[in-house]
Amino acid sequence: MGFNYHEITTDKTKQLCEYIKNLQFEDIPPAVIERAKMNILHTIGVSLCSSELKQIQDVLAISRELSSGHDKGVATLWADGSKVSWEAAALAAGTMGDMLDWEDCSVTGHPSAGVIQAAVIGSEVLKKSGRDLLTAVVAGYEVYQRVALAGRANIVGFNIFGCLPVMMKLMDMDTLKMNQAFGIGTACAIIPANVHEATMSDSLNYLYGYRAENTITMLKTALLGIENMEDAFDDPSAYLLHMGYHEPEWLTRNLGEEYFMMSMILIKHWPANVFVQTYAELAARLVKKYQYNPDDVQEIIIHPSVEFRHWYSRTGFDSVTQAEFSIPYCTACAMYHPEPGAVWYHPETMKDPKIVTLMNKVKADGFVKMEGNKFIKDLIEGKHPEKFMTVRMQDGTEYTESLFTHPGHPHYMLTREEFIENFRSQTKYVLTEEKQEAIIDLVLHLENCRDASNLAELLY
Amino acid sequence: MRYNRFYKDNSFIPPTDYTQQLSEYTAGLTFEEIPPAVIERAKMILLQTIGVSLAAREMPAAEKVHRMALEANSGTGGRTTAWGTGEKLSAANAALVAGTISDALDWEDCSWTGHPSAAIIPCSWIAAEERHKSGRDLLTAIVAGYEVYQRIAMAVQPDREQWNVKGWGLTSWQIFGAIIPVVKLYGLDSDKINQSIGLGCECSTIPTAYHAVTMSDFYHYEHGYRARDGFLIAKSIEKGIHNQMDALDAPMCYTAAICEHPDTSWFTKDLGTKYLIMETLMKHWPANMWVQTSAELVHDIAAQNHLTPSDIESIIIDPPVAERMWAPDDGFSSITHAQFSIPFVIASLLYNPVPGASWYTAGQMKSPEIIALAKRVKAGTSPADSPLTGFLDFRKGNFPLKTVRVLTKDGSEFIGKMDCHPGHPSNMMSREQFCERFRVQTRSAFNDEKANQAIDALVNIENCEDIAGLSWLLS
Repeated sequence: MGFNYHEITTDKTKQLCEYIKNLQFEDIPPAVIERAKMNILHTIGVSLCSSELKQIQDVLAISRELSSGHDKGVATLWADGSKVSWEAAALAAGTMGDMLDWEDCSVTGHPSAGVIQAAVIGSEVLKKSGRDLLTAVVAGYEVYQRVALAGRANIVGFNIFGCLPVMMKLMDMDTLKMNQAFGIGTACAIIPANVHEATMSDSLNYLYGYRAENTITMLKTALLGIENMEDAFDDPSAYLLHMGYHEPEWLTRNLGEEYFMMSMILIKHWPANVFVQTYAELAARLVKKYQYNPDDVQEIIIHPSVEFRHWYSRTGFDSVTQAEFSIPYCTACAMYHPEPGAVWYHPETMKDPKIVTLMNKVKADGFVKMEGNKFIKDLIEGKHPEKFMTVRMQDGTEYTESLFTHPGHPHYMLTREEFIENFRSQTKYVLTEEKQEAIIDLVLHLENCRDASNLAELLY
Repeated sequence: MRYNRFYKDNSFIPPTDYTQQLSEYTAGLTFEEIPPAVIERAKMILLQTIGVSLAAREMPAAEKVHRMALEANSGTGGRTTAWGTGEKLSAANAALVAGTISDALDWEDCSWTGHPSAAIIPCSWIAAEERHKSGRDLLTAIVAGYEVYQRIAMAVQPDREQWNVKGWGLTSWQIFGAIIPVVKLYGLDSDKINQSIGLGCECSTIPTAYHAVTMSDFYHYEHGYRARDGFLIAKSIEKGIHNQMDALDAPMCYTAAICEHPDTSWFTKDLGTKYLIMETLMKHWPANMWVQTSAELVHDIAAQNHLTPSDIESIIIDPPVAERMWAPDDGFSSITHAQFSIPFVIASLLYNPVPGASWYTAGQMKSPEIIALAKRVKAGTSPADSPLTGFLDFRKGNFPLKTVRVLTKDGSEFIGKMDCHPGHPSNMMSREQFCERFRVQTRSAFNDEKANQAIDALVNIENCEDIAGLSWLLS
């Protein structure tokens, strides 16, 4: 144990390190491996889908500039194909991961935007096998979720603890260096403030990119050698004390026995905030089922809506995040564009007079009762009430549909076939059909893949 | 767009405008309005920070961070220069290097709130080099950086209880020292600067100071991490984001999340009329802040009386400094551990009066003769000074008075007293002293001629048309 002013009386940091070190592909249940594969497919799909948006073109430019040396890069810039440094590839892929807010959601944020990007890029750089990749993904989700549940922070900050274990596993680090890397990670954890959420800023997407990039530097710092910095999850003055609450028992709860990635992670069906999903689902179902023209809608009644996501604009939105978080906007968008995609967040879509008009016809008939921080927990646990959407046409016709939740919820998970179909849809403007099918085939058979770096070669 | 959804009753805008005021100050500051004494101080801080960075270029951290930066950069190539090696890198990777080595010897500065020079100077220089800005632009960005950094940092300083329980997050608010000079030199308007402060707030690390708890040399890398993040943030903002404004004005966006009792009056206190850069302490020795005065006294006594290590029976430091008096039997666990030890630094300077990286080699930190001498440095009988109390006094313009008694084996006793060592704002080094220190700091990097050329370029930097033309003095 390195120097520490404080007496360290627990060993939770060490336990997490040993879990990462000892986790074996063979020990992971088949259903968990299958879920890992689906999450990989889905997160790659939604990331690539986002590449037509300006912010992703911006981050691709920043990443290319970051990796401006004359050597050939070791990693592939997703959606672009340039070879860049590991760090630059992570910056871009991390930003893409949450750009459409389409990847996942758990009680604690968006682990997939860190875990999957880190695993795919790390496997490319380190030439790891598909089994190594899948094992690292599982380690990433399981550690991320436990650290995140142990103390409340800015949800993006948790992604450090998704990326770190993935790469620790892929690098086969020794447990002492893992312990130090966790110390670095906690020192670089961000304060529990959510400026993007208060101001509805699309800066959010960069925040994921920064974390993905930063964690590679953290690991290299530990690998090249520092002194001390151990036991950060156990020290009484360190990380958890700075969080909104601290429940250290979560750090190792049922570690190696229960797979939180199965029960706590919701896969999104729509490119929108988690509280918007079911309403987007209802809107798309209604317009597909009843084949009405959204121009002819008189009003749309939602019962109950979610108060802190029920906002409008008379002129449309500038910030993608603000649109992604608006139930009225996404309801209108789902009716005009029932096949989801980056088109929902093109500047011209966010200002489309038809969509803005329809958004302003979406009315709330009551709101889901909120009880503080339990709101998201209740949603993931399936405790939110049934939601009804009634579309009242100008001729007086009414159509109504209801759902408790949407496909992708842990209680209503997408099937393999649905994941595959969604992937094809998400990537149809980015990849050739040949590449789409090659990626699908590779991910579905990852356990047989000796060199998972082949996957990255297909991502543009 | 200025929008915060939690201020519905105020048209979705927080009721204060601190962020906007700081942003407009940054955007509007011109070289011509900065007093000559402030410009002179900015130049001396620039000289010192480049000097101590070059002094650190042979340290293990410098080698490691160069390697990391080269990997992140995919080899050499880019518009800016890596300090210490002269390789070309992209700005963010060059900042990772320069930020780390600026603090690697803990020799640059110490302000009321941390080590702003380790962010402001590298980031200003690299942004100026990247965008081919002039020396006047560089100096203006440095001053803007100090003035905005210091005010934000002062607003969120921990009170005594938070400091004792949670620590002092000096590497957290460092992010603003990295962002402000870059956005100034990139020519961003006040709205974009406002956004960049917002992104800085959201990227602020928790104020934990875990490096201090474990005495880890990761401390130095943290300065490099912040400098690199400053560039990533500035580049993101330059490309364009939406919203993310007025973060300093909404407690949940920064102040309440990082500080238990923030003092928001600091944000704009005397902005544009009082230059807080003038309150920056410049270190005279490569060591922690609270080691400086004792080291200075022992150095002076030894030099004046021609004392050698073998002459020393004991050295009494009174009052001692809490958590700065250690001399472990088996040596020091890290460079930081040694830099924070009054006994180690005194023993090092007695064996090697020329300060530099040679004090902190692995061999020196475990050297039996250094440890033996360090063990003869003892605490006096007065209650130990605490670093926290020292900082509170420092902010009031004071500094702890130290008495050092050097007892020699022949029975002689030498006594020295000092509060403000050379480099303290009340006892600032002269230009000549800064230049002499620069020669000491760069003696392993430069010959005399090159050192003098570098000094000439830096003390006349307001006449430089393009900072990119001065990359020769970085290695």
